[in-house]
Amino acid sequence: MPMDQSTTSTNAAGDLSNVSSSPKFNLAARGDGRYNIAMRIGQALLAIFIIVFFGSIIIQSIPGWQSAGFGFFTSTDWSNADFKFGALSLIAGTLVTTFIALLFAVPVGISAALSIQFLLHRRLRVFFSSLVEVLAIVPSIVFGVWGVAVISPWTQHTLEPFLRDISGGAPPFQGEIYGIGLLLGGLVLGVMILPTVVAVSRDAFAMVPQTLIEGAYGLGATRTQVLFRVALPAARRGVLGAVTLGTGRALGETVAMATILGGVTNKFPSSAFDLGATLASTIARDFLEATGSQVGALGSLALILTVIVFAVNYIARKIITRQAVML
Amino acid sequence: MKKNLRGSIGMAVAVLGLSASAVVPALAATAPTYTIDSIMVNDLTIKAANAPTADITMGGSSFVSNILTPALAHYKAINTEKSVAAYDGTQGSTNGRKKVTGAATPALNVGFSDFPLENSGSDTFTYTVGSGLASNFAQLPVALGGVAITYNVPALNSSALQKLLAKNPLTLTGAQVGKIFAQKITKWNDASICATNKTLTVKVKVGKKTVTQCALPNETIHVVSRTAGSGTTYMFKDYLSKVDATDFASADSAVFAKTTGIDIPTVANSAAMATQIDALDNSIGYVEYGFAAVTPGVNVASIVNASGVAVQPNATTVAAAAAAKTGFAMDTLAHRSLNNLTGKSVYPITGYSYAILLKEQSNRNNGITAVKVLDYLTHQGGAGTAGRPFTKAGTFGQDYAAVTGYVALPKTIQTLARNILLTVKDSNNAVLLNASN
Repeated sequence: MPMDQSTTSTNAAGDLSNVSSSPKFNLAARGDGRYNIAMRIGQALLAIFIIVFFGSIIIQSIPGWQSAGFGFFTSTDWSNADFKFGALSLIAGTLVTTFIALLFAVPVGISAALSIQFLLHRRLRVFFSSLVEVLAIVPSIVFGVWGVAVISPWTQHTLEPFLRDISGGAPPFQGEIYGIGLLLGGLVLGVMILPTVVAVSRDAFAMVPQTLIEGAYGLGATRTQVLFRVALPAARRGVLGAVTLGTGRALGETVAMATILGGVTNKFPSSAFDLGATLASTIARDFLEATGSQVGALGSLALILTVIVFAVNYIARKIITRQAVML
Repeated sequence: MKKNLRGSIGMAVAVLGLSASAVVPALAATAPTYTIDSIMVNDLTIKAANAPTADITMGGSSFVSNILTPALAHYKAINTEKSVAAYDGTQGSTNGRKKVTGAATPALNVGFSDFPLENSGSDTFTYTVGSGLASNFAQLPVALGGVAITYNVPALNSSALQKLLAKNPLTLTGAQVGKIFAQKITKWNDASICATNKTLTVKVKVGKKTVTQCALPNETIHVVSRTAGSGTTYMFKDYLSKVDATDFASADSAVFAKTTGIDIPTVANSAAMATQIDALDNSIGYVEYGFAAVTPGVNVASIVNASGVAVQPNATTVAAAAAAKTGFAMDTLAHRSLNNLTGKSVYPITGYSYAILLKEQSNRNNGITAVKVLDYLTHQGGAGTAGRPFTKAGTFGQDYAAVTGYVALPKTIQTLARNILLTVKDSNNAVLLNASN
């Protein structure tokens, strides 16, 4: 064994003196070396890119932290034009719209994935899954304009008055109704992340062993019991990963939110009907106006958003990897 | 004999002269209003020798996008060489200003803004040629339009009220507009608005009696603002500073600030403003009047002008404002502003939008293309000789004004624009707009 190991290591190092004199072998060994170097360069470039990316965002954000201090996280008053840099309302807007999006997309998306995977005929399965995936290629601005021009009259005249009446105007369904705002933003975001939730959770359902499903039927389980007590628990990590990936997308959505939320950046949301703004939409809107420390403040927003999105995606990857290992 | 001959010739010349003078006015009466001059006679299309390597870029003000989009498309269509890319008016005037001032090689060849660069102010310029910011740039008026006050009040949509409004549109005084946008008037049925609109009434039963009352609803007014940096906001606030100085001290392009519990939604450009007003009940906003005209569900208020007459924004009233202006010059806002001018038919919220380009064009062919396109944009077509693309087509940029909700630049402004374009030079100090280019 020790001898084998030493031979292997010599080969990998490209030392041709101890190996067979076959030209074919030599070529392979030389190719291996070049491949290794190419790989190392690729890895190094990637690492440099990531370091430069994060480094530049952090450096860019320093003037923002310096001018706003801890108030960046505690103040709700963001007005780039007036040099007021309180990001709390923007962080809240981001989280609230994402939460509403998940309230809509998780039940709808998982149900859709279950029915596409288990209930539809194979041909219809392809048709319906591609139909859902079409939503993923619709440009963001189209969702924004659709939200304002088509859906906001409905939320203004029907949904929001209904919610206010049924709850008696209790939080979070109180206050002025605009049609646009956090609730509409959340709903449109929900539609936007639906393809991610459906596609990834469908993959997770596809990985559930057929023996489990058949076993459950064999024990006399009904179809509903098989779907919700066998398939869903078996694929729960994959589904959780799908939801987390969707969350990542929702957190970073920019153009549609800049169009739908009303761009109010100085108010901590107290109602689902409120106008608001997200981190991403504010960066997009204010960037053209910004100079000096205003750019730095937007850099700070970018850093916060990047950290949140990376954390969510990291968690999603972890969950999905563990699911794959378990199965 | 000689005398007789001379006399006869003299008579003949005189007769010919008289006949000619009678014919010439007749021709002149049918002749178009604009004469092709020595620069245009050589045609304004781009020649192969002067063609840019890629279409030059123009963008900025969304106020002008309705006229510039078809006008630039027409210019591109009749050129066989590379000329100008489609107009980008998605992000507003600040985009136009920044993208010509923000880098040594500007991101846009020509930026458009509803307020020009000043030598001092918030604009930044990364390098300096000469002193001051504005002195580095040629800035010229390219479009004349009016800011319409648009509203969407569903309570006024009944056919009976629409008939009333067709006769007497909803009318607001300048002071009322100021108070509404300062959120000091917060309800549509505010006593002062009802008093201005005495004919806008409905009959309602109170007990057994039928009483006539103001048709405007007891609904909250939702003010909609453009995002910061909008040239339309600047033009509008310049007007407000003249009619409601307590609430609006001076012109600026910041968003309208919330002063009550009612949020003010902000929108990124003129088209989004029209869409938002249409979608949000009981809202009020401001947009170039061409946008209001093409968006269903958006109504336009009449504004009481400085002579006390309620006028709608249209080609006649905006042109009247431009005609009422005396001493127009590019140097100060006071000299440029067309707001709140006196005259019975004058629409009071009116202004020019401006093109901005570097005076010294380091890329000669891009510079030639830019000045030719701008010369085309700032003139009207008309007379010409067959065979020359523009004169044959007879269409210049300003010919698109009437059909897109603007007013063609007055002749004096067309001349001013030409004179400003003649200051644009290449690195060798050679004027780029000339007959041989």
